[in-house]
Amino acid sequence: MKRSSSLRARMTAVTVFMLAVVGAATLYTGFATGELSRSLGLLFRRNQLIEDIRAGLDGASSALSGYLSSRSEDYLASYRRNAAILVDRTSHIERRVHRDEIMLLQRQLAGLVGRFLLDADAAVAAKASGHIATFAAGYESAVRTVELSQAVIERIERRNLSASIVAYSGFESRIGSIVATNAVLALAAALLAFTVYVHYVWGMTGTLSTLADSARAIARGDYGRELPRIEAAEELVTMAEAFEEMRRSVRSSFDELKSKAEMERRLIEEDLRLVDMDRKLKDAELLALQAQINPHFLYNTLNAGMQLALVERAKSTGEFMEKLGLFIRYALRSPSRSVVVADEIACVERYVWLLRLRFGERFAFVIRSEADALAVKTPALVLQPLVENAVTHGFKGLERGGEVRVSARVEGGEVLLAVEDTGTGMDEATLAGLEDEGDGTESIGEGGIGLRNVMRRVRLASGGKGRVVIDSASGRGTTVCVHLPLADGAS
Amino acid sequence: MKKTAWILAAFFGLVLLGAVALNADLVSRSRAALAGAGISGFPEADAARLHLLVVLPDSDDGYFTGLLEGIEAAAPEAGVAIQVERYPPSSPEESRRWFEIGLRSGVDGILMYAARSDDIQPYFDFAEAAGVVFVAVGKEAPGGVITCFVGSAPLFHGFEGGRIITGLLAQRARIGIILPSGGSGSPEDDSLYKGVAAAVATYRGAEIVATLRTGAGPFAAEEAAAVILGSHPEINAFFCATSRDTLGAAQVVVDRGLEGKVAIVGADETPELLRHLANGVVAASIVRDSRAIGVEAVRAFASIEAGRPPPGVIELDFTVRLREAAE
Repeated sequence: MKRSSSLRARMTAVTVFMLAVVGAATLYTGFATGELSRSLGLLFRRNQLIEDIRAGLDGASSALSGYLSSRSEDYLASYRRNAAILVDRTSHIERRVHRDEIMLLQRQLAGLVGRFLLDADAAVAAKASGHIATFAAGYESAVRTVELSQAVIERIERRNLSASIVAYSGFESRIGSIVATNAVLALAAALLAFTVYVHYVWGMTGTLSTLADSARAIARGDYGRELPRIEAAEELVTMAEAFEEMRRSVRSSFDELKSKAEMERRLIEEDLRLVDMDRKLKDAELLALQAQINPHFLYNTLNAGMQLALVERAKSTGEFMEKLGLFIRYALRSPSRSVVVADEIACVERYVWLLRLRFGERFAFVIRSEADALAVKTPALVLQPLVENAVTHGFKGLERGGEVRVSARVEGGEVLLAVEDTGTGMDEATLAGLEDEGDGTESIGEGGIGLRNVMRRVRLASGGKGRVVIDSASGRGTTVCVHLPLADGAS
Repeated sequence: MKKTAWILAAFFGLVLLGAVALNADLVSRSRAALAGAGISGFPEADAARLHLLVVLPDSDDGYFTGLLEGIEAAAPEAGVAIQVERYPPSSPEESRRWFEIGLRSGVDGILMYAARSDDIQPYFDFAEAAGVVFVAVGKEAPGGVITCFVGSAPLFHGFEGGRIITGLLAQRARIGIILPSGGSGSPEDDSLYKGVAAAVATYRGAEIVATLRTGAGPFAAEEAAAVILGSHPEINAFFCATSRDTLGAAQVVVDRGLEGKVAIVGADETPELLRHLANGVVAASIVRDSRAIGVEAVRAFASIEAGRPPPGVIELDFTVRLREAAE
């Protein structure tokens, strides 16, 4: 933000400027008007001067006459006084020769007054010394000069009047223009002051308006609206910077709170998931545990039966007891344990041997496994329940001809454990029902861990990355494929 | 907004300054117009070296108009400021009063019109005593000892007029002479008359039938022409020595339908006279160059003021305007 001088300084400067401009314009118009008024006095200044000279001549002449008649000191004083006035007044007359009619007449008048004073002074001096003829001649000359002066004065006043009329006409013709220029001057001063005032006020209030808009935006919750660049007085820039800082701080705080809330939500979700997993595992363990009714007794009893079969040379019975014992021992251990695929295949092979005892050659069983899949970790008891479901549900009502194919292979970063049967398949409703893994409390059903149980254990054991894909349709058989990621393996 | 504001501010500022400058100029000029001149501190008129008082009759005669023109034309070159005072021809005492004013007020020179019959000798004496240069101007030099007079030669003027008339009419010429007002003595003693008579005498048979001096009024010449024609209907030519008299005679000739029958030889060249010349009412006009007289008078004054001896009587030449030249 660009800072300029302080708000107070700017406002003061603008106000002073306005006052100065308008004041100067007002003072000037007043001065000009005063000058014009005084100028009018010039019109009469000349006339006033001539009138004073006329009065002086009359007074001096009269006093001279009185003094010469009576030799009165009062008359003499009066004469001197009037003479002094004449000297003073004529000193204002331009004595140099100029090509101007009135100036020449005035010069003449000044000359006549000078001549009068000479004659009068000579008469006064002659009177004092008693030379009658001299003062009489001087007096006559002085009187004659006064007469001639009156003629010149009359001529001057006539010419002055004409000149004054012409001058006043010239003056009057300009009055209109002077008034007009005064008006233009005052208007221009006012407009100049107003323009400067509006410009600065606009700038100042514009900044405040911008701040107000930003405040309203924040009030609406729009914290992303950034304050535009402001070039203003120092105080306003300080306000704007503080406001922007506040906005960023609030936004940052909100973002942080939002982020924390999101993190907490994720943590809570994770906790809930873990709790759920733990609970489900514990349920599964419990379920399995419940199913493990004294496994040592069963195994020992089956071993005892196997020994009896060997003693009685019942070889098939002994093999049956051995394989059953091994299957039961594998099946009754914790279903949450992790085994390798090879173990699952071995379990399936034993289960299939036992099924063959029961069903003979009614159903075919094919078991294939790839070497690089055998060492991959998997939850225990994943394949056997699927094979059990295939025989129990897939071949339900089927006397013979069904086939179950079990495979284990690695594909696309996953190990695929698949059980495919050629049974009756599942309809859409049954298939949709299997998508719900349930809460783990379903009954195990006819002698095994249910498909849902397998699906739940696969997901829990793989941290949600594993899945069970069921492909089935009525009359088309069923394929259940367990996908386990290779990166983590099954745990 | 910022740019617009500054442009507007600059514009209003310029308008303000312009209005102030214009207003100040108007006020100054108004003040100057009112101030005028004559008071110390406002010497606005051109300065000059010498103050010359010019005293002339207030007449409508073109002679004085030309005279004043010449005086005003010569004044600047001579460094002279002229003060013109005109008096009614019927009040000659006015001229004496202005002469006295000039002497007592201490002007540098007085230029005054003097008729042939005026006694201007005392004027020269008084002026010399007061240290003021005096120059007289006129149509014919007055009598007496003339220190400085500038005018024309009436004798030759009259002779030229008679010559033109006899040239037109030869021995048939029957001439009426109208002499200008202001003269004294009998008309036959007038130099103009003498000049005409000298020219007429060369043509046996041609004669001057009547001579009359006009009065002072504006229609005096008309009256004189009418009287002459009334008493002497055989008159076929008029000689007039001033433009006023020429126009008066021309008016009478026109009024009586005598154009082409009565020739008029007049004087000077006012616009109306030139029109009559072009129309043939006036046959010729002898132009006394009064303008040249005025110029010469100012030069004479300046010369005397400079210390040179007065030139005495200066008689300037004249020219003849004919009908062809007027056209």
